Amino acid sequence: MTTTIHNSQMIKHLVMKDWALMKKSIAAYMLAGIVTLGIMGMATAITFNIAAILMITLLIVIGARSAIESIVNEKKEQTLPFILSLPVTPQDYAFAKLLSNLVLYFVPWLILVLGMLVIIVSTPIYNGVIPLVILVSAYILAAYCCYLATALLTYSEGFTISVMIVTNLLLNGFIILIMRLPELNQTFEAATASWNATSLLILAALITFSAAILLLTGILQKRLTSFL
Amino acid sequence: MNSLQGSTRLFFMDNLRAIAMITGIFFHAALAYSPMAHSIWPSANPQNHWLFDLFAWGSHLFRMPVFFVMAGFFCALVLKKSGGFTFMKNRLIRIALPLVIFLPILSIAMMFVIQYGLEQVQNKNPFLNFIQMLMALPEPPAAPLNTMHLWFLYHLLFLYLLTYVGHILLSAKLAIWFTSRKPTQLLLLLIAASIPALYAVSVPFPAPEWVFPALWALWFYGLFFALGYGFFTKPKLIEQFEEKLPLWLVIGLITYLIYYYLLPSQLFPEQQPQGLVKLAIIVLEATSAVLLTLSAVLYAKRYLNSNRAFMRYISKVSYWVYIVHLPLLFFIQFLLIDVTWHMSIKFLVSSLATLTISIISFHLLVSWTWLSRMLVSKSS
Repeated sequence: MTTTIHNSQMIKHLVMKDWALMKKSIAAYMLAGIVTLGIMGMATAITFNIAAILMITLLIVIGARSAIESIVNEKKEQTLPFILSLPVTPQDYAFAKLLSNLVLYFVPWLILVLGMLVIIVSTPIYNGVIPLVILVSAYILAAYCCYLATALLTYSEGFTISVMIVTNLLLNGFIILIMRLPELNQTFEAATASWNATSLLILAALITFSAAILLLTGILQKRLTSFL
Repeated sequence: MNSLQGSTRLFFMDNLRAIAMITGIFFHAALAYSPMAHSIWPSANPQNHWLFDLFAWGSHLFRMPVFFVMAGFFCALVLKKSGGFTFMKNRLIRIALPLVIFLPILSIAMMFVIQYGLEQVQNKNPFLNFIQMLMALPEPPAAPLNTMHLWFLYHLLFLYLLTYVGHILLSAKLAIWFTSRKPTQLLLLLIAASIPALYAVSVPFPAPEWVFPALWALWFYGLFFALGYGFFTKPKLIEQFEEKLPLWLVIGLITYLIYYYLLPSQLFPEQQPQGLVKLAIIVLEATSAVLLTLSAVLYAKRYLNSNRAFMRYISKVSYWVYIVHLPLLFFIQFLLIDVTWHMSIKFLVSSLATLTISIISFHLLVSWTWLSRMLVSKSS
């Protein structure tokens, strides 16, 4: 994406604009994240399960809202004509969107996942569930990459929401699938995290898939000649 | 521009911090001679007296809330003076970095000190006996991760995040409504708001040392943090209490005495009060904590607002002393457990020796090194 580097100042402004527009949501996620960690810290089975569900919900909601708010709504709410008046190429715009969304999602994702891992390591919860937690988190990240790519390439609310629905439905299937895999479920109650060929293969597949989706989005965006 | 937002240095804040810090050492030292904490405190001595309880739990009610009032005040001050980016950089260096550096060191130091206690103390207290029993198990459980006494720094980081959240999500109208309350209304609001947080935990409220942010602590101490923040932006918020200050202090002390009388004799879970009795104790606890904290801040403002070299010095070393004092104190108290001195002598010796060694170590390890950038404020 050599063309995008030419206008780094404009890209910075666009990223800052997204940050300014999203900061209320980010503040609310921060509050929800602190409350969720606090609930987990109460260290009973019920509060842990409630907090785990809240955490997964939060990971999905952060991704969904950032994609819809900063990409799809920009076209829907007629903000694009204003962007068109700026000295910015379609590549600049697309690169700024990709960058701001990745930062706005990846940072909270990383904090929440690390928070969950700290919780598991520091409580009596079996460390054997660590592969499960990492695989589910990696799946949610891959799903986010899918609907981010859809939003960036189509700017369509309908397509983006459809991909969100499909990936979220598949999340249940994914959890059931990995919980039924004997190579994985036999180690859930182990004292230490146990990685084997199956779990590592699934993780590698999810990471490769996410990277491929982002790379493909970048390549397709490079070919953009028009905003519309 | 009001007097607190001007360029004049607020000496009472430095002096109050110095006194609160020294009180912290005496508080932790007193717990070793407290009948209530005898069964749970690592350096508990065979000798104990209720006077140590009276002092310890009284100071416990307002000492940490005072620190949070000051933290909120300085948060508002630095934000106003330097803006968000400098504030973030400043807090990362002054709060997050010391937490990251010293927590592992202190945890290891504490492990060695407890090991020393297990090996050398003859008259082992219930805590040491319990640890010895756990260590004798075929598979001894791992020690839970905790933030020790650095919980203050840890929770402060979350309160900074919540300040940002509040700044974005809360309307200015709410802040104006809150800061325009009359003294009695504000008092009732603070007390009522503290009750649910304190009801969620045991009495007296514990230190939130676990590795997770404790919601009750964020709520309870967050109220004092917000009060300090408001004190900077609108000094009248706290200064309006000055008119009837002796009355608030007397009510705070009376409620504390009744609260102390109602406390369980031991801090075992099965001795904790329940239901309405607990609610009554919590109301007294909240009332006393709010009134004694306000009294401490305002009496400091009235009588300690002067530039005294000694207090300036104590304020300068206070952060380091706060960080290192606990393992040192435990070690000294382990040395004293089997000694046949009177408990009041042991109490004084352990407190003063901890303070002295901490100060000497400040000059050996901090004052001339890069650590001083983290642990000594520029103004000191």
